[in-house]
Amino acid sequence: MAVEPQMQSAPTIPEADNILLEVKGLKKYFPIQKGLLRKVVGYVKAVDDISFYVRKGETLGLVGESGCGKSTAGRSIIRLYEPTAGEVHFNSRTLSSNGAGKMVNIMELSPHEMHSIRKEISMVFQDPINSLNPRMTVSDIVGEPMAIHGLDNGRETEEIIVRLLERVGLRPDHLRRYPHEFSGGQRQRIGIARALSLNPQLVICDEPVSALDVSIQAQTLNLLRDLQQDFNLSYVFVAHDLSVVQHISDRVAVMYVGKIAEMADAEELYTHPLHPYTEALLSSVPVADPLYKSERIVMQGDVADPSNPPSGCYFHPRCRYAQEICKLQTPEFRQLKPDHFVACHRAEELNLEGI
Amino acid sequence: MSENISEPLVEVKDLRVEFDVRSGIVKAVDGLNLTIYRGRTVGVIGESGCGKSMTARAILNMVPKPGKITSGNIIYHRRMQNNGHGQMDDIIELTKLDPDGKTIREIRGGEIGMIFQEPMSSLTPVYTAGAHIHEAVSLHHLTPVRKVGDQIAEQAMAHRQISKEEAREVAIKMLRRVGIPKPEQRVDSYPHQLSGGQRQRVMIAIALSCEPSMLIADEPTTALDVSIEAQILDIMRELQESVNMAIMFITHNLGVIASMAEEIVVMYMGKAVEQAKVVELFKDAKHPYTQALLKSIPQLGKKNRNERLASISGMVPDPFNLPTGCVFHPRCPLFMPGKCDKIVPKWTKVGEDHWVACLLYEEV
Repeated sequence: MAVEPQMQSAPTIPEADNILLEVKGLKKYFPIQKGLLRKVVGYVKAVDDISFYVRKGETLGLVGESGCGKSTAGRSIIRLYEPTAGEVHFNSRTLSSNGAGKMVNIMELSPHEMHSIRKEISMVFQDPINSLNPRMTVSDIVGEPMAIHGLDNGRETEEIIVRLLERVGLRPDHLRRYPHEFSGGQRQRIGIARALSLNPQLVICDEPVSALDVSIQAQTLNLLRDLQQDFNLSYVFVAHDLSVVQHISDRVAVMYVGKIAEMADAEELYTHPLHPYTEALLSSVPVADPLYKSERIVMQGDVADPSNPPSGCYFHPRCRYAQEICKLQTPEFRQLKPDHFVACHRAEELNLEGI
Repeated sequence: MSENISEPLVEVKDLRVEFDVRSGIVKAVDGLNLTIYRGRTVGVIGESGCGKSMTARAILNMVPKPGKITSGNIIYHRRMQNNGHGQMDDIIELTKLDPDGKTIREIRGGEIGMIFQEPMSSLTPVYTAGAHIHEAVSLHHLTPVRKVGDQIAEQAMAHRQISKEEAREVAIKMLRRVGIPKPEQRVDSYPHQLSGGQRQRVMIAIALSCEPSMLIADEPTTALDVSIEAQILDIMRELQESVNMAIMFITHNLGVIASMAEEIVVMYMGKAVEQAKVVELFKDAKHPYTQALLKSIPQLGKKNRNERLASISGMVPDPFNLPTGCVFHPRCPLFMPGKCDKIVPKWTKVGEDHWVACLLYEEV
C-alpha cells in the first residue's frame, strides 16, 4: 500500500529580504526500471518535497547519513539533475535589467538563461581527483568556465587566473602543471579556484573536505571562510560530518530519507534539537575528549529504503518516541520557533537533549 | 582482565619498511617501537602516508611489493593451549617467517584478525602482486558471488576444528552478535544484498569468528555513517571484554580514538613522534605536531563559528627528499633554527608512560 505523502508546507521566511535562494517543494525521483522494455516499476524518492532558503552571505549546511538525498538536493538546485517537481527561486544579477537582482524561478528558465545562471551558481565536488580533467593544465581548468562563457580575453584572463590561484594559496608557477602533480588538498584548491572564476553568488559544496586529511581539511575550511567574507559568497554546504558542518554553517538542515527533518540556526539546532533524529545523530558523534561520556541513543534498524519508505513519518520505525500517529500521518514541516523548522508530530512535548 | 594488565602480545622493535621504487627509496616506517598488550587497545593516529597502515601490514607480514621490511623485528607471544596442562607462550618472530608459510597463515586471520576500510581503494594497486597478497585480500574482502554465511563459516573452519554445521551456527551467532537483523535469513544473503554498514559488520564478524587474540582495525569505520559507526565501536568494545582481545586501532578520526584507545601513538612520516595514555595525550600533548593535530579538528559542541581552525602550515614533505634533523621542522611553529634542522630528536620520556621525540624536551 503506497501512502501518498501529504505536501509539506513551504516554510514561511521570517525576513523576506536578503534571500538569495529559496527552494519550494523540490522533488527528485529516480525511476527504477526492470525487464526488457525497461518498464518503470517504482521510484527512488531521493529528494521528496523539501523546502529551504539561503540568505545572502550565509552558509546553509545540509547534513544527513549516506543516501538521505543531500547531494541530490544540492545538484538539483542547478539542474545537474532535472528535478521531478518544485520551484527554485534565485535572486539573479545577470538576468535582471538593472543589475540589482531579480527573483527568477530556475525551473522555468530557457537553456540560454540557464547558461547565464550557471555563472552565478557554481559547484565544488568531493573528489578532487576525479572532478578535474587529467589532461588539462591548471590554467585551462581554472580558465575553462570563462572560456565557455565567452569571457576569455587572453592576457587579462591569465592575470585573473593567477590572482585566483594566489588567492586560494597556489603559486603562479603551478599554472602549466597537470592535476596529478598536486596533492589532494591542492587539487581541492584548484577546484575552488575554478568554482570562483566567474565570480558566483552561490557555491554548492558537495562534501568538499571529506576526502582530505585533518590538517588539510582545516586549511580548506579556513580558506572557504575567508573567501566567503572577501567575495560575500553564500554556500550550500553538503556534508555528513556534523562537527565540520557546525563549524562552517550559519544554519543547518538535517535530512532523512529525502526529507528535511529539521532546519534551524546552527547553534540552536545543536544545542536544542527538536527532532528525535537530530538528537540521535548528535548523540552518535564521537567526541575528541576521552573523559566525555555520552549517552548514545541507539537507533534501531537501518536507514529506510527510499524506494519503499515506511508509512507516516519515515523515521518512526527507528524512533524511540514514536506513537500511533507517527505511523499514520506524515508530519508537517513547520516553524515551531523563529527560524526553527521541524517535521515531527511530537516536537512540542518532547524535551530533547543537544550537545 | 586485571591480571593481564601488562602482558605483551606483540612487540614491534625498531621496525623499518622501505619501498625501493624508480625515483628512490621511500621509508614508509622508519624505526618504530611499539608494544601491544593483551586485552588492551592501542590507537595509532596520523595523516595519510605517515606509515600507520604499513605498520599493520608488517605485523601480518603482508607488506605489498616493492616494499620490504629492511630491519627490526616483530615478536609475537603465541599462546598454545591444547597440551593438556594449561597455557604456555611460544615466541615467534613474525618478520622471520615465510610470508606464504603455514605458520603465518594460521596466525593471519586466525589469531590476528583484521578489518580494513570498506572502499578498498588503498588496495587496488596490489591486486596483481603475488599469491600471499591474494590471500590477504581474500581475508578481508567479501567475495561477491558467495553467501556471507558461508564466508564466515569458512573462516571459522579454517582456524578451528569444527564441522560444517557447527560453522554455520558460528556464522549465525556472529551475525547476531554484530547486530545484523534476522541472522538466520541473512546468513544466506549475498554481499550485494546488504547495505554498506551491514557489509562492514560482516567483515567484523569474519575477523572475529575465530576469536583472535588481536584485532588490527585499520580505519574500520571511516566510510560509515555516525550511527553505524557508533554501533560497530560498541561491538568491538564488547567483544574485546568477552575474549580479552587486544586491538590496534588505526585511524585519523580523533573522536573515535578518544573513545576507543587506552594508549595512543602519534605517527608522522614513518616515525612515532609521541606516545601517551589517552587522557594525558588529549589534555597535555607535548609534540607540536600532536598539538596542531588536536587543534585542527572542528569540535562538536564547542562554539567556534567565528574562529579559524588552527591548521598546520605547509604540506607533508616529499618522501624522497625528507628534511634533515626533525622531519617536522619545516612545518613546526616552534622551530628552533640551528637545532631542529640539524639534530634528529631522540625518543624521550616526559612523564609517566609519556614519550615524545622533540628537541624541546631534550637537553642539547
